[in-house]
Amino acid sequence: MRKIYYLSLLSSGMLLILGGCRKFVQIPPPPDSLISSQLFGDSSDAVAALSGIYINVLQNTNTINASSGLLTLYPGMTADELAPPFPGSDAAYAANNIIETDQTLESIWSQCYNDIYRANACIEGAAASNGISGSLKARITGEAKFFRAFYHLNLTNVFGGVPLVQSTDYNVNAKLARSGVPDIYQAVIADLNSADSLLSGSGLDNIPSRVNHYAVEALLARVYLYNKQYDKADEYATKVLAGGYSLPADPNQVFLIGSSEAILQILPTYPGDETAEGNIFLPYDPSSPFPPNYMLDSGLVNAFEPDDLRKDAWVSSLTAGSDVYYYPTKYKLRSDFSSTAPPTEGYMWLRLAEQYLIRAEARAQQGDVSGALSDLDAIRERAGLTDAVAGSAADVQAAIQKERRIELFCEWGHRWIDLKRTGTIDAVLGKEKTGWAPSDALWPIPYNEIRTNPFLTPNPS
Amino acid sequence: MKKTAPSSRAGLCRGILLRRPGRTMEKAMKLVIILLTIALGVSAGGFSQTITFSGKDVPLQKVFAAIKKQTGYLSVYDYDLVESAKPVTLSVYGMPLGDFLDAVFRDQPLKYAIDNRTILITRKAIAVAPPLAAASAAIAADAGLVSITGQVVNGVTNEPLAGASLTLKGQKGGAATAADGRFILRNIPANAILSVSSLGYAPMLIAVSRLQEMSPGRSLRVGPGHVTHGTGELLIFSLSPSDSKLDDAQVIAYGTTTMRFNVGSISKVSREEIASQPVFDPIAALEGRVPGLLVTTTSGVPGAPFKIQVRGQNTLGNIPGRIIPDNPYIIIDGVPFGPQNSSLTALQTVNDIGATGLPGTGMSPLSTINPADIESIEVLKDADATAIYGARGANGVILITTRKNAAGKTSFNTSVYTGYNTLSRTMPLLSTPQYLALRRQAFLNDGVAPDSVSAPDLFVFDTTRHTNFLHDFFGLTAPSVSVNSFLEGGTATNTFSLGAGYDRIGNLFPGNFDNNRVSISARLHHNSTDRRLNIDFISNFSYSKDNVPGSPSITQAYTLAPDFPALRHGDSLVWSYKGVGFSNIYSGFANPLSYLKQTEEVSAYTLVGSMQIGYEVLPGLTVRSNFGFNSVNTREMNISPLDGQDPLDSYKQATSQRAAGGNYSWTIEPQVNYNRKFGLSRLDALAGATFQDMTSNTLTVTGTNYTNDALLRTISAAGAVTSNEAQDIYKYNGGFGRVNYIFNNKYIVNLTGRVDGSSRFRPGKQWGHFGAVGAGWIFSEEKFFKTAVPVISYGKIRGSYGTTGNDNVGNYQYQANWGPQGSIYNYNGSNGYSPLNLANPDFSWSTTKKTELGLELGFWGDKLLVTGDWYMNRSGNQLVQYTLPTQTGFRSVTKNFEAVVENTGWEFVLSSTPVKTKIFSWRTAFNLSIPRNKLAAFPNIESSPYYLTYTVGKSLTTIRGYKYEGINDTTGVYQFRTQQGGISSRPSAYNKDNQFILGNFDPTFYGGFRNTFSYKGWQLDIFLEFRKQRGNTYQASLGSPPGTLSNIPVDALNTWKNPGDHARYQRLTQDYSSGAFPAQGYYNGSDGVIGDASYIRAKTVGVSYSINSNLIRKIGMNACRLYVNAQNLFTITGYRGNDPESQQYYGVPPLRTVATGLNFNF
Repeated sequence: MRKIYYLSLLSSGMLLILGGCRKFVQIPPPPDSLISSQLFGDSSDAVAALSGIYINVLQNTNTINASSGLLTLYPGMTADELAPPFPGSDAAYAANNIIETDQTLESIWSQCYNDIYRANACIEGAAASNGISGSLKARITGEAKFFRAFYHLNLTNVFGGVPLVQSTDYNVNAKLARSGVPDIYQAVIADLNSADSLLSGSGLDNIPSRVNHYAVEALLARVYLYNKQYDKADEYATKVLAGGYSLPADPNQVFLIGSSEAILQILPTYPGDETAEGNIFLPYDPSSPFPPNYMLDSGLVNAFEPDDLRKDAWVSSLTAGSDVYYYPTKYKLRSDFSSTAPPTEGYMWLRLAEQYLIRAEARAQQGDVSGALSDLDAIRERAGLTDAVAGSAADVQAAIQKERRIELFCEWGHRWIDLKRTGTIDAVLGKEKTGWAPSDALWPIPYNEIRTNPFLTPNPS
Repeated sequence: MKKTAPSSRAGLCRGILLRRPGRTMEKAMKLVIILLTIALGVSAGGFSQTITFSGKDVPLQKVFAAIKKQTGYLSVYDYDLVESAKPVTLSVYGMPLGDFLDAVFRDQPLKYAIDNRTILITRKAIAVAPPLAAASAAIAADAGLVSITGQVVNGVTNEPLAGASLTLKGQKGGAATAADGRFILRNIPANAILSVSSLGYAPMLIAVSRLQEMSPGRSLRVGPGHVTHGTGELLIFSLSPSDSKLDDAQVIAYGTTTMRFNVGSISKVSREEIASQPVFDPIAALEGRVPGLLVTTTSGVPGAPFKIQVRGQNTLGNIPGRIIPDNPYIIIDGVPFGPQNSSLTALQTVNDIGATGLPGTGMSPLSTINPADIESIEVLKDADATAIYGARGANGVILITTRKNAAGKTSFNTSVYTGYNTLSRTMPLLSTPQYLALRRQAFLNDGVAPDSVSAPDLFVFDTTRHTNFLHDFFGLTAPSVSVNSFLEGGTATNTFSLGAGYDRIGNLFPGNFDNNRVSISARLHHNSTDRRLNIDFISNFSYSKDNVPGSPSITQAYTLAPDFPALRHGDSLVWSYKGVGFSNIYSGFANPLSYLKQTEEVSAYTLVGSMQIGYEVLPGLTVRSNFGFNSVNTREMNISPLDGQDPLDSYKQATSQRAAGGNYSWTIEPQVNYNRKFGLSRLDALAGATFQDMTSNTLTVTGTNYTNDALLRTISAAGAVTSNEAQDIYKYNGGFGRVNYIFNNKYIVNLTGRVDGSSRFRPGKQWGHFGAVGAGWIFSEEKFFKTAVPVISYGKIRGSYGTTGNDNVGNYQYQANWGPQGSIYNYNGSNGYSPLNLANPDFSWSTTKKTELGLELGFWGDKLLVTGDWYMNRSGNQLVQYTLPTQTGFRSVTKNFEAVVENTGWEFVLSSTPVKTKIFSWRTAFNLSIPRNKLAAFPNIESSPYYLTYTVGKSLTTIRGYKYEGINDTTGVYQFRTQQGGISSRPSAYNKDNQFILGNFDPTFYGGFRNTFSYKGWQLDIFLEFRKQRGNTYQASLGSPPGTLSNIPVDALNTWKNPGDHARYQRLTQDYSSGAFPAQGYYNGSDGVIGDASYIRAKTVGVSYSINSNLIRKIGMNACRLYVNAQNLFTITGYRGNDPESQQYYGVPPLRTVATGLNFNF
């Protein structure tokens, strides 16, 4: 009987234990992360989600990424700006001999889309949030739309049409095919127009370290120019030019933090930290008899007019053996982690000079030659050069393109894009580069993407 | 309950007549007990005059009930009489009724008489004195018929053996022993031959006449056992435990069994086999020894992890060309091992050739376990063996059991060895003259004149200099030392063991790098004198400290130009040549030996503790609970002093990183076990529940801006500190049950079921059901078989089918998580958040269906045992990190999908002792696994991200790539087949038709072959491991084409130079814009780099000598053994690369170890 009692006690004990099971596997939320709804339910967390995109620019300044220099260096090499001084795997870019399995291609693609995902998550998170104010929602959505537009545009500049990703739904996104370039321009313009209205009146106009409506308008002016909507390009460049920015008299001042020409400038915050471009282009030791990591193309160096102040400010050289190597010095500082001083240079994303050149080109295209020349001269005057000479519309156009080449060299691949959109790429690079083929104007779609998305088509090779 | 006990006893006696209300429950319970104790033992069918009965302490009334049921005989008795009767303990089979009644009444104060199918019970007139004397007529000659009263005991422990069978050669009838080991055989012919047998013991055959001749107190040796004439007429049959491998204890889930009665697929590696290998990590000791288990060394750096896989890959990978192996579930003494097989390190180590945190990088968690503490390692493979682990059993289970302790005189065992480790196999690299010639040829081929910028190796360096950088980097001989002591002893009720060990293995790298481990273990066992209470307490603690280089820059050991200037002077690193910094000579070049200064120290504190308490509530019914706790705490310090950084580098800064990691796992597993024998049946039923909680956390702290290298070991001196913390919580809960039924030692059925809940799935998706059925037939026990095929002493067919699951994905993946960016940066005062994953609320268990068939045969008295297994595992509803194109923002999402991966295979084991004499013996064991992996189904693969990675019907390791078509004789460049059947040196990767299926990297077969020879005190042990497979040759690893600024193996000199050359490799080039450059890339992805990677390796070779002289006995020693063991002594292979197993060209191949040692026992 005792045994029976034991037995029943035991079985009821077991039953009780098993009854508790269902609750046992419920676990508390992760202690080290927030879920989307929590994140966007709180104002400062929601801002932090967006800050992640900015911080991506600053990460690991000793290696460049798609937000901080990859899109300066590599388009610079595929165009006629930069080349490695000796054989290295980068040489394939300078030789326009890029293999589709190249890791850099993959980095650029995946980093841009990671930021696009973040932007989409911010847009969706803000829309679904009940915990943040309407004005903050507008600001987050506006900034996020700017980034979404910016990265799509950058991808299009080098790859041609790319998948247009406008949500976080991987079920949809994983099967997207490439959109045509015009569709991407339209989507970019739509995002920017929306961002423009969302950010107007946000009170952040005078903070160039954050996307404000001038930054949006500056990018809009660029897209309209690329899309040959010259009136719109003119209109938006004019808005930005009226935004209270000015060109610093000394070209050496342009890339410093606090530059009066900065429309959007992402700022390193860590002591001793400087820009990735500075770290990658400046040699360790200019006095040593070995070349820098990348050298400027002699055609570019020779294209500077005599007495151009920009040449002194933005180009340096060193001698190795019997050869002279030029390298860009727009950014003049390498990171120095032994220093505790705050950074002095910032990543220039959008600056005033480009807006002058956009409006000059837009005006010229619309037949306003004198207007075009006055904008062009604003740039030339700062460079210590004489005013441009009036001529035919075509001459003005050529002068603008030449000025763009000098003013915007080694910045965000402008030269590469300009050669393509003006249809001069085959003529120019065909002369410069052996084995140039028109298909080289577009980089290969990274093979890893083709491999994982059956709907993606390659570029012609 | 104490109060109610006496009254209910009274009630039980009279209850039959009184039938008081309120006793219904009691009756029901009684019924259950009766059913459990008797009914199963009662043979069904019509009435007969024989009884089959098995029970312990059965009240007499119930015995009468059994008699009535089986024979129809009714018992008539007085209740008062019967109440005074003793309960009956007896186990008989087919015994005549009269004999049965004699046995029942032997010890009773009662007698019986049979009258016309009625049994009358009356009080005995005279009380008979001692019960044993009552059987004084045990051996009584009566017209050639005798009776025997006896007891069967274990010849070693003298414990009674229940269920032993007594048979007479060539005659029917017989008896089985009761729980106290006793039996009575009545009226058997005096000239019969008696066979006494019990499974797991050597059977005894003895003529009844010899038993009769024995006089009290005498003993008679019979085979390995003996018979003793005990008090009274009792004969004690002492059986000697069998030495057949079939009866070795085999650990299974929640219990033990023997190979004989097991119906699952389980392989065991014994302590003896582990101890024969001078290895630091117990996983290394499994290599080649277990069919179906593929263990692969990833690197020769001590502490480097192993890839472990049981019966192939069940899940699709998410990293191109790199499948994360499906790790089996690892359990130590019943406690799930917290870190499983994932790396212990959070910071960078020299093993991180790939990305940090992936399998195959970091530090092996099992290297914290001392192999000397291990009793056995069991690998559970099929559904029968693994289904009880439900959701965690899909990839097999590895059960590690630590050393058991035995009662007896306290013994002390110590084993000491010292050894040396050297590089096993590397390809010779070019000498300086060969290298310079190669470079000049490359420039010549490209039509370019080299200069000091493009070829510093030709123009700047001292071209008469030659350095073997391999030797410079890791050419040292690394010593290893191991000391292990083990103390054990105790009484029959309390035993203990204590173990302590110290192991140290050096590193090949110059500098103070080594891996140290101190371990202590304690084990206590207690059982109450009545053996009903059993308590085991086991604890194993280890502290290990691994000092390794903290930077994975060993690639340059292979690639540095052999005329490269000296990299160090003594202990200090050199950063320049003739006043010019290396980083200027080679852009961005940092002295690769800087890793010598960047050190990573990993301390791991591992505790595995478990307690098992069992109480036998009722005969055969045991309540048990396991409590287990496991923690693996790590402390890491990764230091990067300025001293190890390029003085020219402006980002140089002294940094110090700390990481504190913890993996904690506790489990509680309450269980009820019911274990009974009824006549010919044996039932073993188990029900239980698992509660498991696994937490892990990692805190990483980075200190920067140190002002002085000397202060790097304290984080307080850092100018700036950032930290990062990650935490994981995993909870797991399940209920399980198992019923094992064995009938007549021939037929075995095993049913297993499990309900599982895991916190890795969102509420609503958490629960899964798994189960398996296994069955076996020991056909060799069938009489017809025994007579027909006497050469086969043991034969069993077994099979199993069942389902297991897998929840092996990250925690919290069902929701969209964002984590702090965790960097030193902030933006406008705001720290960033990063999205961590793509959320998918819908995923749940994956399910693996396992089918298994096995045949086990023993020949010539089990001298040769052969096992053959066929299995088929189909993993459906795949739960993986599903690959995505990065346009989704991520590379993968946790997801189920409808692909099926099928692993089928054959496994064979053959073990034998062909020769066994007193002075010479030869034991041999051979195992062979023939696996086959295929993607059985993948609906809509064409529109999935896997459309180019996998092919339905082919293995998961199938390589798709370019078809190599030799060297173009005009250009000297590799060429490949293209879709149109054309040939090109640059086939576009985009065109999927340019890619062909090139075969797979699965082993075709693998296994091991062990031979042990003993001659007097000498023993020679040779274990060969072999594997037949294809793999990537070193050419696949070359980052740049030969001819560029990089050293290469001598083999690569075989290059095309002129039209008409029949060269192995394309022309040399140093020009990245030449056609040879991309061609090298395509070549790396073609079958040109795939070659044979089969090998036969002398994994373990050992020679030992046991000193067997009076001298050692004089000093109190029981045994003393001297030995020399070698691990990875040599490898026979045609592989074009360093090591065919690890296949990493730019890595450290597995080490060769030679150790000499001493083992003694007091």
